[in-house]
Amino acid sequence: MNAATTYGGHSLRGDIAIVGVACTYPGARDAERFWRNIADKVSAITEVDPRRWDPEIFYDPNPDADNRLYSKLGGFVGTSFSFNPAKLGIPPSSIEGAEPDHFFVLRSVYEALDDAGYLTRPFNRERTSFVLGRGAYMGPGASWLTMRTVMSGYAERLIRRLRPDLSGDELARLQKQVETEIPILTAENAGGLIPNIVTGRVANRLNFMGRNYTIDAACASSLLAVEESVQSLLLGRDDMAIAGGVHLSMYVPFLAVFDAMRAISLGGAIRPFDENADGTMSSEGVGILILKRLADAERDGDRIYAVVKGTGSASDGKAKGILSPRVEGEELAVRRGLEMAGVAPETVGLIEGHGTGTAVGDGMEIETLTRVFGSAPGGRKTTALGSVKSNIGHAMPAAGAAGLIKTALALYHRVLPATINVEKPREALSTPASRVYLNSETRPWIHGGETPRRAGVNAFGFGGINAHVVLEEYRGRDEHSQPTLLRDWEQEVFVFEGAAREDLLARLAAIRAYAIAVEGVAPRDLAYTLNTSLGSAGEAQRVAIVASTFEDLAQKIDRVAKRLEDPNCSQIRERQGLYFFPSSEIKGGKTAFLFPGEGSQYLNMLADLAIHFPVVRQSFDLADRAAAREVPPSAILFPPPAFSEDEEAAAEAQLYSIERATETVLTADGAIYRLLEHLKLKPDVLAGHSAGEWIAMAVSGMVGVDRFIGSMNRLAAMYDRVSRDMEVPRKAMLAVGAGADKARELAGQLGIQIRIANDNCPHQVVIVVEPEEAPRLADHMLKGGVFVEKLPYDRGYHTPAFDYLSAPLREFFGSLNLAAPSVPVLSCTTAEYFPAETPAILDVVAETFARPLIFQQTIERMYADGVRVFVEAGPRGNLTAFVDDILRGRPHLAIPVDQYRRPGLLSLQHAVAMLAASHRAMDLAPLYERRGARKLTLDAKADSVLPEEKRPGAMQIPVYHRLLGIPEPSEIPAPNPAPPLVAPSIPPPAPAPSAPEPVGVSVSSAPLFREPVREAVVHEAEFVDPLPVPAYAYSTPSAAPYAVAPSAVAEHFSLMEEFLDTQASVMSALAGAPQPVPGHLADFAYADFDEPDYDWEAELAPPAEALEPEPFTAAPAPGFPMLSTARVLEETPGQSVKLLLTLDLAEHKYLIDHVLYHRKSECGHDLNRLANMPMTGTVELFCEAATRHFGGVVTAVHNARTPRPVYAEENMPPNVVTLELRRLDASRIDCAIRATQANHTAIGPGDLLASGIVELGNALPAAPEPMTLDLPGARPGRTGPELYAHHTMFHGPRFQNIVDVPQMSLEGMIGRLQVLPNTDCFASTSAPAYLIDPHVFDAAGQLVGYWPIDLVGPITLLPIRIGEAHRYAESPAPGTVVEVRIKILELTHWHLLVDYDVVLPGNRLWLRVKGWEDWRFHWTPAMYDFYRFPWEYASGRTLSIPGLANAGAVCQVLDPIAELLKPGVSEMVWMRGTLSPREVAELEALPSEQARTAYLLESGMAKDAVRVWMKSRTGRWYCPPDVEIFPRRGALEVAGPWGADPAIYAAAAAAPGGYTAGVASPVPAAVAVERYLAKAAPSPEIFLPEEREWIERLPDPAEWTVRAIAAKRAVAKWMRPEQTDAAYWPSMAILRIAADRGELTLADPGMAVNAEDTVTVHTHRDGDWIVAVAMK
Amino acid sequence: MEYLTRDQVRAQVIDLLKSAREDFDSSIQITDQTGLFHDLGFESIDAIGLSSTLEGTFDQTLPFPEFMNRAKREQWKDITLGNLLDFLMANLNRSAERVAA
Repeated sequence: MNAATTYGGHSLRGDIAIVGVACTYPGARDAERFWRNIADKVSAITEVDPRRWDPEIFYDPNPDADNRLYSKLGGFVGTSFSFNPAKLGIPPSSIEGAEPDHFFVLRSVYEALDDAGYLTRPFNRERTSFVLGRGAYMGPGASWLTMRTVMSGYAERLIRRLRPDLSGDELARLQKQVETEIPILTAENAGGLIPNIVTGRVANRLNFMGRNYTIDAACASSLLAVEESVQSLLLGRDDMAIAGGVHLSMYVPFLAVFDAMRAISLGGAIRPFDENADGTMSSEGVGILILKRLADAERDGDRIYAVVKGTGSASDGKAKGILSPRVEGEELAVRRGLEMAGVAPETVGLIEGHGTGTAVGDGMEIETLTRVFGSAPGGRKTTALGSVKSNIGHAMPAAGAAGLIKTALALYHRVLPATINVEKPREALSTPASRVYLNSETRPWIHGGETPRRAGVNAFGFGGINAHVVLEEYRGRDEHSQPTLLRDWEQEVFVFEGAAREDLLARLAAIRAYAIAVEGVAPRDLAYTLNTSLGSAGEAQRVAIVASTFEDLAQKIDRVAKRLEDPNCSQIRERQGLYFFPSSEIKGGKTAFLFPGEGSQYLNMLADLAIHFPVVRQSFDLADRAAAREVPPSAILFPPPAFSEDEEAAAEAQLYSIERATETVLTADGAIYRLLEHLKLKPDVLAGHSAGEWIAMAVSGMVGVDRFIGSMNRLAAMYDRVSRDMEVPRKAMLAVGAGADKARELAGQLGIQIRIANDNCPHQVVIVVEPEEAPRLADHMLKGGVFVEKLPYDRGYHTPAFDYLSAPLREFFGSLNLAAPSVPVLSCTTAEYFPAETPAILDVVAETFARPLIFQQTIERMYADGVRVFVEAGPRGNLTAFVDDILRGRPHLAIPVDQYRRPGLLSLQHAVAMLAASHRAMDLAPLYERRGARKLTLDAKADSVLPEEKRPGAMQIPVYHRLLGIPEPSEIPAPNPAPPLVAPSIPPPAPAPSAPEPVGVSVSSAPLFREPVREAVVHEAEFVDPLPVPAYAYSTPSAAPYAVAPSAVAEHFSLMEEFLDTQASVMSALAGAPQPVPGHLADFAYADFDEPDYDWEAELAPPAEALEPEPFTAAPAPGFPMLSTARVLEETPGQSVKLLLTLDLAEHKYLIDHVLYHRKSECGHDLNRLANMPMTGTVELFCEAATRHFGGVVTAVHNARTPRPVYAEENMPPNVVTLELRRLDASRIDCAIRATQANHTAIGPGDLLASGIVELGNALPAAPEPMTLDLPGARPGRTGPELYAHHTMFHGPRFQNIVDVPQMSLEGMIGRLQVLPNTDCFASTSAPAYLIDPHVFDAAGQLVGYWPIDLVGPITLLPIRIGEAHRYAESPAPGTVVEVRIKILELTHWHLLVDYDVVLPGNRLWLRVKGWEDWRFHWTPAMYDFYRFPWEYASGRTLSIPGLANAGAVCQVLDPIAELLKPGVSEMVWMRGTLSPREVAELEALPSEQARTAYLLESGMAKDAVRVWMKSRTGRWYCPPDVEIFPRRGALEVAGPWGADPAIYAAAAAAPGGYTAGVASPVPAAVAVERYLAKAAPSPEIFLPEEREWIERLPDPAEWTVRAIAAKRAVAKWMRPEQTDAAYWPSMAILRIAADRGELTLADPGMAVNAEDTVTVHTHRDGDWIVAVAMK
Repeated sequence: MEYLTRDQVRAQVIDLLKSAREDFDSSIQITDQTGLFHDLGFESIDAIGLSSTLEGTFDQTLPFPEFMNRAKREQWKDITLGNLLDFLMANLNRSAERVAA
């Protein structure tokens, strides 16, 4: 059959370039991450997030269960994606309710244009088309439409049936509850459900005027879109064609179809082409490609990923069923593609298979490939097969785009990408019947063939539609100029330089601070910046560090700095990557390159480097090309992955055959040399071990490296010929772990003749011996204590047995036209330099294998000639070990570029670090340039880049589906006393067994539907938009209605802690100038205090030596009350112990008196209390555990910290933590409390809750004299009872130890504490024997916290660290009064630092505390009062607006307070103190920090306004939790204990930055907040020309512009509260402006304008802010 | 020859280990579980060097190759300090017994 006639006879042919790509697939936000995940073999299959679909409702592991899904797994892009509507001119209002995939696609197309460089370059948009593969599966938009239009009616029906007793009003109210979460259908979002609007939207926003449409060919959609685009370009209809696919419908109905077919893997893993494949994994994503004709792309200088040569498509015709594939159809598609491409099947090196992982599908596809690509020539498999579905699952219509992007990137990077989850390829792939093999490793794509690298991509769709695309690499550009997508390396090298050691230390410190402070900077950026701005060696000192993250870098800088502070530190060389070689001997020494020879090769050597560095891979390409043999060297060195030990052994054996050994090892040497040359590292002298000498000769200029590699085929041919013609004597070679003399001596004892073939180093020689003598000799040597290993060679290299090779070698090298060396080469056979004349050179080189290798002498010669740095430029790193052995004890540096057991990139980076630290001249820029590294200014603020979701204008678009709302049990009226009339056919639903029924609520109130969840929309448009009121989840889980999950609590705390840590680091990093202190604090003098005289950091680093110290003689005191709930998990006596500690409030009763906030409700809106272990409690825990398990007496505690709270919550399971103790040395025990995974308390980075070091001794030390405090001008402070009654301290009775404060002044204070009876602190004991009574110790801290409040003003402080606490006496008995003498060291904007003594009666010192540190919160005075008594203060400030007051409304505003915007803190204060349980549940359900912050701020100010309003009406303050705010799309409803009268409404708006306004009024109102920035002129287009004119005529047009914007926005909210935003508001028309009163009158021009339809807006300028309140 | 306790031997061996590798990592605490190859970065040459150094330090021949071969045969993941001490204690004390006898 003639191909052209059979397969379609394409006349339309031509090359199409892929010039841009963008995608988002599971686990990969963008193409860069997508490619890295493939290269790193990442599986992105995860369990479903319940917000996508809730397994509790829809999952049943039984595959036969009806209407349930049997797998919870799949590939998910997340629950929402980040989108910037403003950037693309999309009104946020049109997003709500539309299909999210519109914006998902638009974002990708925009990013693909960016990738192609066409956001900034012009192109012909008139001739740009967009074709998208997309099915009409049910997306979130379609599903809510169904809910809104069908299900809600059905729900009403259902409720009516179940509860016929309900009145019409009640039913209507419930119905509203049910519908509450589902967007209303409007004209604006309705279009979103029409399938092709997605491409229309893209063409509209990006102004494309070619055709736009969607294609649905199921799984083949993307490739058909590409085919259409290619044809359109070839026809000349378009100049640019954008193609791709999207799928964002991972929802129950669609998944149920796959379940019904049993297509989903039961085993839970997708294994394409594996014997054990049992099904696919469904998935989603978007992939976009930008295509142009190749000639145009070349003309326009585009980056070209790959070239599309051909596309083919075919239907299955009459298959068995419409859902079963057919080989004939698949084959036809592939053949049509190849035919259009004009490509021979055997030149295709890579196939991206459809590979769904289903038995039938995979089987058919392999059959197709075998038919088209044929059998393996000589049994050698040449075509790699894989499928990206193994990584991300099957993304349906978007799957083809994923495969195509992957393959284009594979061609671009010259990499054969791995397929994961493969254990045993299908039988058909393992036999020679198929050329195709399954590739399970990421490997360099070595290619020496005449045709370019080629690849094919398959996509076969349901319904029998098949597609294939043929791609080819683009060779028209130097790869080194082309950016790589493998930009993130596991680790980077950082080189630091300073003129002297102090400068170096300063540089290290500065970069450390920078690295901690900066955000959004990649390690490569810093490495690039540092390493390309180095001076040219000279006298400077250098440190090089290899580190993986900035955190790692900071730790390593600390270690280096610590060592450098020792003036005797003369060198640092630590395996983890710390290098410092300041000696002038090394600095000034020469550099040698050493090239290893046979024996150093290993399978896949340098694979890693060949992937990252084209210069390395190109050497292997060259060897393949030169070899011109059936089996190229790369097939031996980088063979297809082995799936059994036998396969692997066979591959190894080939690599050790003589001709292959030389060829591969020398190519690798040459590749590494090329890399070093690329980095401009120059050798002073060269040498090679065995045949490595030839590469040394080539490098020296005698031959030239490429020329030598290019002629190795002749060398190999010579080997072949010689071994054929000659009888080569067999010998045994033994590696002996001893010097030459010892080897001879041992052999002599047996009378055996040996020859020393290699004298490698003092501890290794290789000897040649007759094969029959070898076993006896080896045995004898072993018995003599000498290591012996038989080498895998059967000939006597480097002995006269190889004389026969001399003549051929002379002939081979003679033919190369040798030149004189330009870099001296030492020969390892002579330990002399190579001569300059060719005949003399040939004399040496001819003897390479015939003479013994005297490596040891050669290295000695180099050393004598001044070489101090030895770079091993080849695989494995053996020579480095030899050199170190030879030069042991003498200053030198031997550096392996490659190491056998380390990843190639890691070895290289250590080598680079050592080279840089030893002051070798190099250019490190090539390490970064292809990776798009940024040059940094090293100013943390200037360099920081916000993450995508935090950038101005960013919003999160949810991709999940919404269900009908479930009314709260309390919202469902109790049934009438008469039994409800229930139709017999519908039994009443049974109560959920685990849900205790609230009293008075009947069974019929059990939830009918699950509660919905909605993601808040947070944005920040061109003007400072208000944070819209987020929409919330309305109901709480029925089982524990008012419980706050412990995990969420922990998360808040960890966020808070993270914030504190970050702030602390940032502040100390930026510490240069102290922050100005506001207002009344300004005149307080800080500078007079001495610096603290202790060093915390010194305590941190454990010593290096191993320990087995003497036991303590003192027996531990009995008791250990804190450990009553602890049990030992592991213990190595005297070394370490790990305890499991249950923080149970029933046992640890004292904790309930340590609740950080105050709260009161008068109508039963209670929350569980959250008790927090005081820091002194953790110290006591450490002390008790240390002495119980290590013996001895506690003498001190050092550096105690509580990075995360150790808490316990009422009515909840106890918090379980571990307490880990580890002995550091004779006296010090390192202690840590960690969260356990078991109860999910370890949220956020790290699990460390508290840490400290306990010091033990045999007796309490003698007490020094207590300090005496001279406090001139001191006055008494308040008494303890006053402090507690005024809530100055939050503490409950068991912590109320303060008696009074006799003296206080700016320098310090003296306070008195009483030891309280401890009988009721624990359930298990009434007489706890404390080591350091944590109550008294805590109360000393309370005094510290009280000091500034009294002297300076309302300041809130929390302890964060105890530097040292020394203990000189036992804890005093209850009743004892102790005196605390506190010396203030430092009060800054951020912290307070003090030392204090606690003194027993009789002036005996009990505790001496140094470096007690409190963190300082900056709250307003109002907030300070509100924190203490939330039920009788307002938290905001009243804004007096006359117009509002006349209307009977109140406006409260909150000034921005940094801490309140931080999630943990704000939630502690607002949530725990002010929210009702229902509100807490709503808050907890919010998906993002921003949404929670907005909720807290807005409900906070709304409550505030209502409370102030009620106070003015009734004279009564209501408790914040009792004033409930019900968000209803913009407007807020209010409920409180006052009932229906008076009627009150609220409104609130928070601006980014935290300024918030809340309004309470007797009529519905709406509020908007705008920032007034005099300089920023807002864009005029939101005003009508006449409006503009009015404003311009006003006295302050700039301010009035902002007032008018705020007014329009407020009115828009007022009129259309269901819309969160902005599309509508500019169109509100201003009718009148009463400038003197700040009032504007507006109306919707679309409505009849008469007096009833106008709205009055009261505006007010409050500093930088304009508040606008709209009301009738 | 005198009897050496395990602790005495451990102390000496730890010193030798530290000096055997130039790029010794100061952050590593050497315990009986520390692996020579994995944790301390020993190459085989270093191990051979260490064996001769140990022989020098304790002034006697030790069946080191047997020990290493056993490790190889039994496919140990690494040779730990503990393994090394077991080996040394067995051999050093054996010869001490012999001397004592």
